[in-house]
Amino acid sequence: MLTKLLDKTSDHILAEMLLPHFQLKTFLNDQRMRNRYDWILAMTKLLEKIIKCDGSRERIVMILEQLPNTSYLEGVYDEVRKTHPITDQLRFDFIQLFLKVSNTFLAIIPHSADDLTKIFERIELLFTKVKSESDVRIINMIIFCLII
Amino acid sequence: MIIFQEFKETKAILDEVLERVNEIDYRKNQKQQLLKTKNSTTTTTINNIQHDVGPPPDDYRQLPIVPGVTEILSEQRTYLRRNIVDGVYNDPEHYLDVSIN
Repeated sequence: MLTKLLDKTSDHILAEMLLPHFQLKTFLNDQRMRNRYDWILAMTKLLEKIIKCDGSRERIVMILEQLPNTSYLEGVYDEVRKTHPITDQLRFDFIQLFLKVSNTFLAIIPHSADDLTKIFERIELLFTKVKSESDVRIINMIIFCLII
Repeated sequence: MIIFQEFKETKAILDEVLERVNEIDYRKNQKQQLLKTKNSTTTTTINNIQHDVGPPPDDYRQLPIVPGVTEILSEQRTYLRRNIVDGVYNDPEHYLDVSIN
């Protein structure tokens, strides 16, 4: 159901997610939202799409305010540190999407930021690690070039 | 190289988000400080009121009914008569003094 929505327009997704039969809260607390990357990514993509809806601030709030204390956020917390199976790099596209959603979340409902803070801290830590690793790689390349 | 570009873009958004979080924390701290100051002022006032014991410094008959500019602008704390909730007044004079003030 989530993946089917991905091809729809932002307004359509927003309207659909607010329908009672969609049961967003049930989706957000589904165990698969905690364990399965495809589910977490699909939900993140949907959220990233709905925040683009202009003039629908109140309806966006109705969705974003359901995020704290959900399996979805726990799933995101676990997934941000995992690397891509092929490139062995952090999944920057996924992190970027989530940060975009978070940015809007913080702007609209700043009083509920506590739940997201630990995710930001983890991403920051991971990025510091990536930065230092890339610095080492550059230094190694320079040394290699100098030797040659 | 593509990964480095992705990293840079994501880092820029992360910095923006972290800045927002810091702003929220700052505002939260300021609000807490303000509440703390407000509470301490209230406590001080309550304490001051409780310290108003002993005979009043002025005669209620001499006090103006409408406060003047001098009284309004004065920073001197007004003597507040302690109300008797449970107990008896010393005499009719004491009763009138407390009731009028």
